[in-house]
Amino acid sequence: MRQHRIVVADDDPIVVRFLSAILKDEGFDVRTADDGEKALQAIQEHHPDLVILDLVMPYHDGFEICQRVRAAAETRQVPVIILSMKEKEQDALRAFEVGADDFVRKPFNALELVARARKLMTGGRG
Amino acid sequence: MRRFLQGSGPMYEFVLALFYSVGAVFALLLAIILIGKAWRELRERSLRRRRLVLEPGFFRYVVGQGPIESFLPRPLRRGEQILVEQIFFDLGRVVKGSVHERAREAFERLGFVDRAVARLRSRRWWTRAEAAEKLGLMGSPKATAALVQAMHDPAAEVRVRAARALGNIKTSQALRPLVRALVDPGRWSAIRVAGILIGAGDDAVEILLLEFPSMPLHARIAAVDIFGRIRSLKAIPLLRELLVSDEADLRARAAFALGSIGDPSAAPALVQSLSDRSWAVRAMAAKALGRLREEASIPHLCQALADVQWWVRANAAEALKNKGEIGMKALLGMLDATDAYAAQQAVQMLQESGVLDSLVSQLAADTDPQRQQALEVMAKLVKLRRTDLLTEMAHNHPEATIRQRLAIILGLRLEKQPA
Repeated sequence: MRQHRIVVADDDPIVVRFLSAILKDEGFDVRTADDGEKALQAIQEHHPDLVILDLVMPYHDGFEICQRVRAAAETRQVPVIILSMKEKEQDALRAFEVGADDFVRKPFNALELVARARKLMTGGRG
Repeated sequence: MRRFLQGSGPMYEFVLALFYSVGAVFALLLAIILIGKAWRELRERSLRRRRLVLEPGFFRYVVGQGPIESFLPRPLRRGEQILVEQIFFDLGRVVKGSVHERAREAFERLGFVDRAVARLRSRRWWTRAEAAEKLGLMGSPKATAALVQAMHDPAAEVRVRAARALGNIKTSQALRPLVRALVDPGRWSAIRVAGILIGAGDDAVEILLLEFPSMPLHARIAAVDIFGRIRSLKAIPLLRELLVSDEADLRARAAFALGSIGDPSAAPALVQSLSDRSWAVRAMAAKALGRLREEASIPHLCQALADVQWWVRANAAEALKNKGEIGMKALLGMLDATDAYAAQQAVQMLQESGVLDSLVSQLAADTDPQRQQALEVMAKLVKLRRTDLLTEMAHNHPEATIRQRLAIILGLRLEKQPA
């Protein structure tokens, strides 16, 4: 069976390294990016089954990347989880408006995030 | 001088020697700076490399099971404690849940807690302060006794960091000394201690409730504020009891805290407080009622609009506004009040909340009932002698129809303006 591919994009290196390590241990093929530009490039090249995006990143924020993922025919169906350090309720609403499948606030529960990722990849988009 | 200019003589030799000496000193300093910088960069690079080697094991440990030793790629080397601490502290910033518990276990097993406790006894205050800070981030109850002792440290910075660390540990043994510090205003800033207890959340509420009966008044007042800030449901029975306390300050703050918690079942008790002998209590009760999602208090808030104290009237009007549409209707109804203060307070709130503006706009409505409602309110404003508001709109409203209708109501002769 093909390994599920995940792109993790966050400008906080500890988040990228931690998520990458635990998702790899769960058997996923993980690519990482530390800014919005690299995230778009990784999504284009890697054809992921799931994208985990930080909301605030250099060059392109999570909302913009999510919109672009939804706009492109080849990535339209790819589930997107947006991570955010912000407490604002409007951010969560906006994330769903731009097409995100889930919105997770930092600090996040690692095991819960892995379970959400797995569910989105196996259950498809809601 | 001539010999000096010709490049010979003792003066020339001296200046030359001085020039070389200064040059040599500068060159030496530059070399020291460059070597130091290179050394620091090499060290940081080496630490980053070592961190990347250690990290995966720690990441697996925090989401896995079993002791930390079984996740280490190799025994920790000298000087790597700081790296391990940094990995866990960085993780604690972005991850929640069992990760903190696992990190705490690792700190205890690897001996980091014991080492930090030992550093609390250092002769240098900044070393003690740093140790207290780290113990707070480690969150180990093993450090409680040492941190309680550090709350009496001669250095204020150490005392504060020890208090914050105890707030992070959150066990009853850790929180009790903080509650006692609240009682001792001479040595501790009540605001700072209250902030730490608020951060500890419901765990602090239990200790505060236990200690409350034996606390002096100033500490009780601080505790009541903390209950409100934490929005603890556990504190509601005590806060309700305090609404009939002998101390007006306690009654007022208890009312405010009940509003912050927002439990609608507190409404009947707060309605009683609208008749309190102290105006501060009545004002806080009105404010609190405005924060509760219930409607039974609306007639009582309408009555409070006629209170002898302006602050009570203002809070009651604001509370009615916060009740939404039904509160606004009550405010409109108060335009008929026999008490002039109550009616004027209602006018002010209707104006501040934009209701009067929208009613004035209704003067140009196509449907009769809407226009009729607006006309009735305008008539009441005229009766209340609040023609100042209407006159201003009669001159400045952007819609000509509304300007004309307001002018008719007020009996004004307006200059012609472009439609």
